[in-house]
Amino acid sequence: MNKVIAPSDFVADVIEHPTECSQCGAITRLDRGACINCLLREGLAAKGEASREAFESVLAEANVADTQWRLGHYEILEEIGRGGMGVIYRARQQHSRRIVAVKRILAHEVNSHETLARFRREAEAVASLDHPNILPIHEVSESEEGLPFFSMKYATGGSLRSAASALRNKPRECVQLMAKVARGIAYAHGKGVLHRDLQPGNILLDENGEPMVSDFGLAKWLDQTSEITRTLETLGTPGYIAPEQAECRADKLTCAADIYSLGAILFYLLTGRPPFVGPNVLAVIHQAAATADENGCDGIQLVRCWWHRWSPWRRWRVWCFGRVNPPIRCRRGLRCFHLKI
Amino acid sequence: MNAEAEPRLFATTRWSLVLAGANSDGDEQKAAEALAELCRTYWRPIFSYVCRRGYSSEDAQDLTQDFFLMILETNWLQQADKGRGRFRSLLLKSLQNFLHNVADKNQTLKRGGSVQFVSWDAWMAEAPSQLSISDRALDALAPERLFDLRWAVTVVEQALRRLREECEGKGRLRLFEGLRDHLAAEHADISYADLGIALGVAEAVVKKQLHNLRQRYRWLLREEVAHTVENPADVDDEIRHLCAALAAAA
Repeated sequence: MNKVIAPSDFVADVIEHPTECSQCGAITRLDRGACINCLLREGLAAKGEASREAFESVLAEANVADTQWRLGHYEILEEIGRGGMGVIYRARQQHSRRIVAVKRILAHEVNSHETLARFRREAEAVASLDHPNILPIHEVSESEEGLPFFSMKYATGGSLRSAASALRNKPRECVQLMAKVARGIAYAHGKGVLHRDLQPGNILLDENGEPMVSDFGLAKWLDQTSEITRTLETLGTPGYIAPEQAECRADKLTCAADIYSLGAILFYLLTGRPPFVGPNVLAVIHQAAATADENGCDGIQLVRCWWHRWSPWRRWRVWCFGRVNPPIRCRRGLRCFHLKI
Repeated sequence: MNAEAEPRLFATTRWSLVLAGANSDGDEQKAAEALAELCRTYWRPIFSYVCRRGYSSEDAQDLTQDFFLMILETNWLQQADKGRGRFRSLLLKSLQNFLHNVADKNQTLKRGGSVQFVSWDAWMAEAPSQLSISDRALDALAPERLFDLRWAVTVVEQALRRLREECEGKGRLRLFEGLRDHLAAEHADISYADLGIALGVAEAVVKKQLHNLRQRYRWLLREEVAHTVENPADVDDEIRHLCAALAAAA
């Protein structure tokens, strides 16, 4: 979840599934999820002067100087992302001075068996993979305070979500980029790892715009059963998860679930939204699981119709042969989905 | 907030400097610098409004820069409505008139002169902003409401940025990063114990520092708002107006 300033980020980022602030009910957020309305209303609660001198005097009392901010032998430079179970920092490796990304578990999750298991599974899954389109992990360790963390390559190009609007009118580039992502995922599948949470925010870009799949927090070894309780948080990202991912047991999922997500991401890149949207998470999941009407679709909608209607086995077969049959032309004559993987 | 304290502290706000300069009872150079600083801070609401009015990204960039050129190089304030009110509302009114004239005459101002524009990407990168909103709410927002929404976001982000800089200047960036997400949180929703573990300090220290950060943030926020109003007594009302803009986006 590395930050990037995209030249096209000019009006607002769209949240696909906004949640209301528990305090005021607003749905507008800053990048880290803070409620803008609550932050603004703090201005009405001010009492008395708060001079800079007084502020800095109290600040200096706290023994949390930045020069002491380390995780293992990584010097923390800044926080760049925060998810449900962890925080991601940009950091500098002490000896080599290399800039890396470091992900640590949230302090209040340390005692959660489920979260720890997810965190460790992510580290183990990625550590076993070596592919140019999978974000590599450098080291897995634990801080002095007992917080597990791992370091990984720092993706300077940000996420695919941030770059999406710049790619909107470049279908060929979108397909070429997704083909590389698909190769990375195919490699992971070959190693027995299923990602289960492919979405635009989990595909990062390096300095050359090359995509790398990240965040294997929901990854699953294909030959193991999962003991982790399935909740909405562990289903994946609504809009990009396969219908069967919401319906069946986690240990019944196959590679076809990731393949579905790849198609949904391509749909998003081409149209600006995932194949299915709804007022809440459950509505989106149910919509994806329902039957779509194919009549009167243009090329993009037809892609959506097929992809979701196809059974997991059929998606897998297409994936293996790397070709859509028959090829489709949309109204603009754009040849859709003639991928060769 | 103590009403007597505000006039003393906010007497030299940027907008008051600009207005004093326009009335020829102030320092014109300072007025020009204050106006430039305000424009530098609040360009995003302008750009968002122009985009929402249907212009392409490239045209919106040109029009935004042309608009600021008009403000900075002409006697903009003298020509504006005498009931000037707040900087935000005057800027929006001027922008609406500007776009109306552009549409009528289909012309843009010639660039150059004393105003130097940095590259657009550098301008965007200087003060990064990331507002997240549902697509349904975004589509439903009228351009004027989007302008106010972006203005509200800018005010909040400016206050947070200044707070961050003050913390970083004292080598307490880590403290800021650890506590910034709790500046507006209810006390019952904050796990001081967990924050203490993450920061390596006692709970009591977390409570004191969070209170300290919160107080300073509130002050900085009010100061940002005060820079855009003529009368310090208008700060509360301006904040409420911006809150209403956020409510419209719900």
